[in-house]
Amino acid sequence: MPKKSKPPAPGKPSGKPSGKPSGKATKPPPPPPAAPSSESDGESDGSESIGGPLDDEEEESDGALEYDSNEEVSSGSEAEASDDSDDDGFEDQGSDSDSAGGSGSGSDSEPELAVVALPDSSDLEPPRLWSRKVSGLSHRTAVLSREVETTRDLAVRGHTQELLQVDDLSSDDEAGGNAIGKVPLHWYDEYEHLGYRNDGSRVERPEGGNAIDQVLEQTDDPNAKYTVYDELNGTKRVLTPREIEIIRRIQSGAAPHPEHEANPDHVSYFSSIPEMSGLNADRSEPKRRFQPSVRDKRLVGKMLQALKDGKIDMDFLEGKKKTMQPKSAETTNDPFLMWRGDEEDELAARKGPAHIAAPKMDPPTHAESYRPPAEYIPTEKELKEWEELDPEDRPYGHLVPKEFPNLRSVGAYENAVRDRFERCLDLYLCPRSVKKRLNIDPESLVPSLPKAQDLKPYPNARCLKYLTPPRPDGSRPRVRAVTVSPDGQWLASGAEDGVVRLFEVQTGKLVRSWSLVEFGDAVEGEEAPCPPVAALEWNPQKCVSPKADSAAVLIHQLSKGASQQPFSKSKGEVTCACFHPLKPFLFVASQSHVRVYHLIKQTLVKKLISGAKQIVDIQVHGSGDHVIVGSLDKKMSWFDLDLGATPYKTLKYHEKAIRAVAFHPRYPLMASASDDGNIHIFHATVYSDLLRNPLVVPVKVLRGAHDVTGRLGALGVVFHPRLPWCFSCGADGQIVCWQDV
Amino acid sequence: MGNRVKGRTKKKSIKAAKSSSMSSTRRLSRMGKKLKAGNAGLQATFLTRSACLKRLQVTLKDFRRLCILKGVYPRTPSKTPMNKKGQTFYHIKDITYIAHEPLLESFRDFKAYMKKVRKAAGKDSKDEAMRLALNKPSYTLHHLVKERYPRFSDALGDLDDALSMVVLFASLPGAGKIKSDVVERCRNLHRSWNAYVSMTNSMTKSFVSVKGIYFEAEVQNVPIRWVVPHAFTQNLPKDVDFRVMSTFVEFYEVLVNFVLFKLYSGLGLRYPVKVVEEGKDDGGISSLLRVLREGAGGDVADAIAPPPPRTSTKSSSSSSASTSMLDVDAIVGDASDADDSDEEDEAAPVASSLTEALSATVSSDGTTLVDTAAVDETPRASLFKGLTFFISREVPKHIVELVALSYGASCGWEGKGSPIMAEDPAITHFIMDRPSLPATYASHPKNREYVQPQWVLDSANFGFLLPVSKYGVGVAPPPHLSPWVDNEKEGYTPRYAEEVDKLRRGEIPDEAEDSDSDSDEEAAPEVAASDEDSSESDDEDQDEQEAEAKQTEKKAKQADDPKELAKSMMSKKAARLYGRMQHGLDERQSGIERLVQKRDAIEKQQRKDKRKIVIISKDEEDEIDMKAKSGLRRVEEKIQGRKKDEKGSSAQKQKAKRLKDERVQLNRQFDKQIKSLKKPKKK
Repeated sequence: MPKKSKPPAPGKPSGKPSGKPSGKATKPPPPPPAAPSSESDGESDGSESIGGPLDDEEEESDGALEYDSNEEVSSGSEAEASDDSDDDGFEDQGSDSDSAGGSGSGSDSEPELAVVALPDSSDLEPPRLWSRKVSGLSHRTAVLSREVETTRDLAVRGHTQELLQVDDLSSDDEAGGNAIGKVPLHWYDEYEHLGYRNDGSRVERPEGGNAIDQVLEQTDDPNAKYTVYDELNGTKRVLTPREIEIIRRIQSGAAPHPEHEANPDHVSYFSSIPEMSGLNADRSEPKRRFQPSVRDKRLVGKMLQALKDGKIDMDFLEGKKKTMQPKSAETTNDPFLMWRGDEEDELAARKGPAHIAAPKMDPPTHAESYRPPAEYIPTEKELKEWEELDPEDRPYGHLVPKEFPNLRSVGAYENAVRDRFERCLDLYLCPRSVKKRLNIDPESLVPSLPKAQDLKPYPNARCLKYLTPPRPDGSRPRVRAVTVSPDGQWLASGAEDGVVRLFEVQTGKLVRSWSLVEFGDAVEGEEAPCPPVAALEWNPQKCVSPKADSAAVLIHQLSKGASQQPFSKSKGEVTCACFHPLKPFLFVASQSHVRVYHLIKQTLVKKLISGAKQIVDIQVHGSGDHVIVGSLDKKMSWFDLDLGATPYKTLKYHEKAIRAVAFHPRYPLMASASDDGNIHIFHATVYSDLLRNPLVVPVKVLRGAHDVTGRLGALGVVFHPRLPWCFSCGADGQIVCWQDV
Repeated sequence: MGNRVKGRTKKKSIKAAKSSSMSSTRRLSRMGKKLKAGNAGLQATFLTRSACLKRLQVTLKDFRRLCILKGVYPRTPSKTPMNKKGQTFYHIKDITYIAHEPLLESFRDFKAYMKKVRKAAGKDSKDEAMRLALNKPSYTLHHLVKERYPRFSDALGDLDDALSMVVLFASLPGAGKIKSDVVERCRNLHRSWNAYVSMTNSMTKSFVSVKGIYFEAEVQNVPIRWVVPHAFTQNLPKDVDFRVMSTFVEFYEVLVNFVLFKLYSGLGLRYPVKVVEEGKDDGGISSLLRVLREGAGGDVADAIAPPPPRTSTKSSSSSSASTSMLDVDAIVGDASDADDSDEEDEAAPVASSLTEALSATVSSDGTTLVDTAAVDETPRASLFKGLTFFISREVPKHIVELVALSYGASCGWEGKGSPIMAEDPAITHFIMDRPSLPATYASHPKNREYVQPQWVLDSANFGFLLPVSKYGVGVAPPPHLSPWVDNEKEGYTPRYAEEVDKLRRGEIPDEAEDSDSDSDEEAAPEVAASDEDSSESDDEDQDEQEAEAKQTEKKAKQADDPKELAKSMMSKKAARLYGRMQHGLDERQSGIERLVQKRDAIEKQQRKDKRKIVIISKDEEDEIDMKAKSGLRRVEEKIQGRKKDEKGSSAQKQKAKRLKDERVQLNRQFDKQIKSLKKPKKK
């Protein structure tokens, strides 16, 4: 707030000792009642306003251009006189200022009066100091600052207006100064004046003077240091000590107002010390303190009523129950009658997958007893076996049967909890499924066959033995092949010693014998050059020699006495061959296949896949439609030529390799000889009706037909051409005739 | 559920997935076209466990609990693709079932609640935590009981595991992971169950195993088997997950509770039974029964739930109630008949009070409960009729008491709450398990048997009173056989079972035979022994030869057997199946053979031991002598005592006869012992 005031002496402190004003207070006379209010035409706080006293010296200094010493002292709350155009407003507030003056006069004696003395300068008239007690501000020191305003336009205004301002922050209008507003000052650079006042008069530009003058002036003026130039009004102004102080404070970063008290004295408004002479110190306790509480009475009454009504009970009051709400079945697990017996439909209405009940645990056995019978207690050997087993497979779970002498010596079972836990795991983790237990009698799996008695006749008893003369050491050579003459009178055998012997069937007499070594070229035997005799056939029309490559199969024409070689190339190792009884077909068996050739057309008709690994013998049924094949892997395959290339039936009943198979030319009989020394006799009916399957029924096992020597048992079997007999030969060097008895 | 695969139509149900919304014509038109994956088969019917978790949005822990409580278990799909082998599959319906379970919601509530509690605890605000504790969410399980067991018979059928579990928990220490209140509740349930079984005489089998004591009761024609662990501190393995066990027991508790309620209300009794008198209660069945009697004497009619409506299919519970009451009547009646006049006074209060109590029940609700026509005197209810057992303190009381009461005996025991004292003359059997009879017992009345607890169980299992001589004090009792084993079906009958069978048929016990045959057999074993000695070296060879010979014999037997021939004609499949079945049979047979062989060997050894020269000092001989004599004397005294009081009742005659037989037997034993003692000396 630029206040045009004569700067006071800067060296003087703003505050004076309190004793001083009392002395000075006499000096300025109290302002006349009418005078002070003359310029305070602005709004004023009635209670505090102090009219600005005016001296009679006003007029005297009026004309002077120098600093006017018109001073006005206004109270702190007195704001300003905004409008000074109104000259005759002096009387308006006369009463007001009067009272203020009155109070001011009365205030002289006040000890709390704070006086601010402005520095007096020698040049200037010493400013008059006014000190007032400001009523209403009991503990506050009112600092009255006197504003000194110098005006050059006193002539115009007629008197100087002095404003006492306490609040520096209040924004005042420039009183009587340049009133051009906030426009750039350089607009007036061309002019001689600086602007206009409110009344329209010009604000003259001060005379600049030359630099020397200025310097001189500065040196002359002791206040030059504190003088600032007011550009707007073109005046110089000396800063008041207060302003200087404010600047200093701002510079030093302190609170700008000198009045600000950084550390005020602590006033304890509320003290902890009880005042003995307080307002209520001697009051007695009220009556209600000694009477039963009405509120409690009401509460108890309510509770009593609730108890009577049964809304609450003592358990609730004592805190045993948290709520008086009846525990319904929905909120507790307390039992009630859940099943009433009418639940059948409910179960039927269920959807979803059927429930699978968990199987019950096995009941304890004798072995789990505390005194099991002695035979249930495991021996050391059994214990060892159990230990090797997987824990799950052990017979009694974690338990090892043990005998206790009496009940009192039985202790806790250490796996009681574990057993139960494992059961729990089974119950909720084990996947369940319904498995149909096969509850059939194992015997029902065995096919029911017609009785063997009904299928007689078949060879079932050993009747004749044809003896090969023994070697010098007493052993007999193995007989590998046997054959019967078509009329059934003669039996020929081929032994390992390379001798073919001819027996009479009826008597068993050895009629003749041929040594193949002796003959050189065999007539009836094969593999002439050296023994043993591997196969033997009456009236052979073909001959098979496995190692002979393309000449493995030879066909002999007995009537012409000529032989021919049907295959130019070998088809694997040929093991045996035979003719179709009715048609010009040749069956040639290699290791696992049987090839059927048409001899006239010279084509391959069929290739039978036996599935066997090593075929040893092949036989064709009298009807020509059925073929049996025996193999070393114990299997006998039955082929129905009408059906296909795979066997109609594969039988595996021998314990060792099959060596020979045979069909009876007339009876429905079939036989197979094996290395296990047994010969199996089958009833094998082949029906002319194509839709009926052949009936194969085992009727007899000639057990121990031949002794097993050197892993070889029965080596050959052949039927009698007319009778239900069969002849077998074996590794024990025997030839036996089996007849039906 | 939120795990729908994008681009796949939402399945409303399995059925919808199978036969979508298409009409039949449209479906026909689509025939032969490629099916969309996941609409049928394994994918549409089964979920793996992880898929279940995802679908239900629960943790594995919660899922496990839900499965246990809800009774959901994995199932084995009929066909499992190779890449999914080893996975656990749940049926999709079962999972939907869980998804609609209110329990799932309450689990979630609890989770939220726990979060709040944790938060409060973290903030250290005690009040808040306390307030929360008051509003702890709870859930109930009885709806699951009803859901899983819609009929009472279903519940009874699944009671085996439940009872065993509850009984196990009743014997565990209530500390650590096992809550003490759970243990307490389990104990009460166990006790109530025992009381029910003994009240209704429904016990059928009992067996002391090393694993624990097995019982079987028949309730409404459903056999229920449970195990009671031996009354010692149980071993709690570290790898046992008690959370799983607790969840199971949580459900089983509720199940057993409801079943008991139903059973008790069928009897017209109040359940749960509250045992008020702290001092007299010994935790046993008898005290509970006493409370029941007192309760029944009071306002039963008000207390009991209305009896369930009778159904034609099930045996109505009310009839069973009347049966049990009448049984009690019979017991008391017979007791008063059979016992001596002075004994009767002592014995009567025990049983008669029960009768009174129960008859009071009848009278109060007479019209519904009494069915005089249906007097069903089951043999097991009358087995121990008129007998009074006294249980010595070293005997596990809970076993013997349960069995004795179930078969109609009255019971006393050493300790608090016993209705009779050890000196009581009414006591017929003193159950005892000590090496010898204490000297102080000499002052006891002489007309009682001292038997081991096994006698009670064996007699109950075999269905008649076994002779007590084998179960005397300090004697090693005979083998304890499992009543569940059907010896005939099993193919092997232990010796003792044979003996008991003979006894049952009224034949002379085998010991006499043994003594007779002893002399005959004397020579033979010696020869055998000498043979054994000589042939020790080539035992193995002999064995092999024997085996071979056996095989050949077998073969010879088979030779012309048409069955053997037919077997060769079996198809491969049938042959394999047949072989498997035969294998099983053979295994069983071999097991039996092994047992027989072992038994024979043991018996042979025993005979040998008997014959061996034993040097017995004079003192020992005397001791045995005295023992036998004292036994004789006791029997004689008993008989004399009986004779005095004999009034000519048939039961007593039988008893006398039995005792006489026993005397004869003992005499014979005595003679034999003397003989056997003298023999070696001569040698």
